[in-house]
Amino acid sequence: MVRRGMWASACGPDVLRDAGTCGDVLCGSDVVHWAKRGVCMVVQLIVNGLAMGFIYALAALGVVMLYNALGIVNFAQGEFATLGAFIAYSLIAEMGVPYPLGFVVTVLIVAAVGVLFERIVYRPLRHKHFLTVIVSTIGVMIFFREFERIVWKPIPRFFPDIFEGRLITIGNVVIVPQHVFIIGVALVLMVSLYLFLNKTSVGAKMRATAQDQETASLMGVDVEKMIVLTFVISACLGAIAGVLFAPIFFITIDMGGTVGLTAFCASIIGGFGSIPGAICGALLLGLVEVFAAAYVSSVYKPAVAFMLMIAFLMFRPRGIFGEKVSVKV
Amino acid sequence: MGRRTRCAVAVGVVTLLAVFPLLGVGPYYIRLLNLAGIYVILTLGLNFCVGMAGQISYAQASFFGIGAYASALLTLKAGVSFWAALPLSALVALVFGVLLGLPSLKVGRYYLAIVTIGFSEIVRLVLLNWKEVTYGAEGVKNIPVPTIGAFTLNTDLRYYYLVLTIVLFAVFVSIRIVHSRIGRALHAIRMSDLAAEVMGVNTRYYKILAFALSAFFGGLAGSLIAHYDTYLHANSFNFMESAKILCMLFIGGSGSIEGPIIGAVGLTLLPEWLRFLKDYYMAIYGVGVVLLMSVMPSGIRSLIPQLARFVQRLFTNKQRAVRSEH
Repeated sequence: MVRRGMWASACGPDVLRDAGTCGDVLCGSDVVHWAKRGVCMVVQLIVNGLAMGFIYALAALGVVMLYNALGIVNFAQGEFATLGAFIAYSLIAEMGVPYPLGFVVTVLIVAAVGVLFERIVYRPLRHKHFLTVIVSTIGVMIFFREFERIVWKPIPRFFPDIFEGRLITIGNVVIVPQHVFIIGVALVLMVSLYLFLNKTSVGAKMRATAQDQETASLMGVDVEKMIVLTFVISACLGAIAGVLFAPIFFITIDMGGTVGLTAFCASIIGGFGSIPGAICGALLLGLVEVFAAAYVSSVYKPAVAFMLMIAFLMFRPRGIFGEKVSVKV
Repeated sequence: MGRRTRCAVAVGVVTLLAVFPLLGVGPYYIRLLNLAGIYVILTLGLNFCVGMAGQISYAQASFFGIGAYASALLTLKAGVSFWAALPLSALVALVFGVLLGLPSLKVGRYYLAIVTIGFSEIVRLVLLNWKEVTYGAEGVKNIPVPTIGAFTLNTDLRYYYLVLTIVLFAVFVSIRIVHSRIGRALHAIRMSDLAAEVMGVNTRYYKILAFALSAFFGGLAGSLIAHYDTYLHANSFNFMESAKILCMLFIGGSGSIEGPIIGAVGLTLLPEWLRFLKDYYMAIYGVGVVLLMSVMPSGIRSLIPQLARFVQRLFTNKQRAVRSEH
């Protein structure tokens, strides 16, 4: 099922159906059969939802880190994910580079794009009005999309499954290994990012820059370098999310836009500016989306994140963890 | 400029616009002009919300879509004539505009941006999936063309005059609003909504009014496009369409009247002049937006005073030269 809508994505129960539903259930009574099916369906949905949640979490971390450091929201964040997926596709599927090497090279290329982004787009706009920044990021988005359309043509690409279609079967529960892989990689990344930010001196400098640029520069922190580094990390997180997401569904030009906006919603739900909030919000959204698609309606799945976010903004604008939202005077 | 000169200029421009397509312009170019007119209405509408009140909205394409669907379905299913459906569909859009204006009272900036993106995505999905009413993914076909008695507006040229009338109406309303109490209140809100409120401006009312006006213009444009193309699909009213209208507004120069007009007409005609760029046009366009925003954040409009000064200097120099000869 391919929906070519702007923010359309599909990674809900369709994937599960493709991968085969629960294993053979050998029980006499239909009631037990369906009950068991129900339970393993739920377990599978949880794994699926968590995998999606971790992908959103990686992208959301990129959004939040940029916001904390610079006070800007990069609406083009998701485009790093699309770019990462396309580059990885070219390297791994077309040129036959081994997966781990292809993965690393992709992330390095997107990191370089992140540096360019900082130089060309962010720096000239540093103290401009936020509407100008928003329009400028629209320009970036259009450029990325058209660049991808020219280079990779508007054909949905299918990223080869590194697990060659094998499935993990535990009892009656069938799990797609890519989902486990996503959860593992994301957890390792988050822990290392946490250690980097909190246990290394560069991390401390980055946090200092995020808190107060002027004071940080008085303390001898090279603020410019830290800002570039923030962009690099943010771009890398986006690229990794894209490469991990690629085998779950077709790679399309619209793919990253969905991930980026969902990540933004997730960080609002979690409490904007809070890193644990962004992760929790993302996991919550991943789960809610998958369950809503399975039990409520799959066509409205792309709207779930927005509806949840609007509900949060209306009734609990500070989100799960965040501080109070107030307009700066 | 005195009142009389202004009137003379206005009459001159209107006459020029009315006569222009009769001077042997091909139907294709008239179609482009019609589209440019529709985008002028959309961009002038968005200008109330973004340019004047400073409230970001990514939802202009949704109001465009709501107006288009409302007008098409009213004429097709309820048998309403186009002339009634045009204002009705604008009113339907206006109701949604008020609805979207409500969150702007609570949240601002990036939050409002994502709320409006969410709103437009939900609208698109409903239009795409509510098969019983909107014909779903098939789209709406065979939308009737407007008629006046036995006279059918079935050619590009005939439709041009309809579009021109609505464009003139939109420009007139915009000019009146900029120089009114509403315009000043919106301007104050853009500068600082807290300060505006302290000064006694009812910011809640004016913010919602800005969204309502945006939506109303969006609805008018939607009705025009529905009966012009006679076919609608929900996916044409997507995020990128809203982004395009925002770009038109900012490239022209937001907050003014001439800015949105320059932006909308320019960006509709530009692809024609730059056709040799082929597939690269959009990529270059994206780069152009980024560069323009960093070099000229108040849009092409900011060139007008410079241009005027340049022309003035040319004239004065000539006069001086003439004088020195004597």
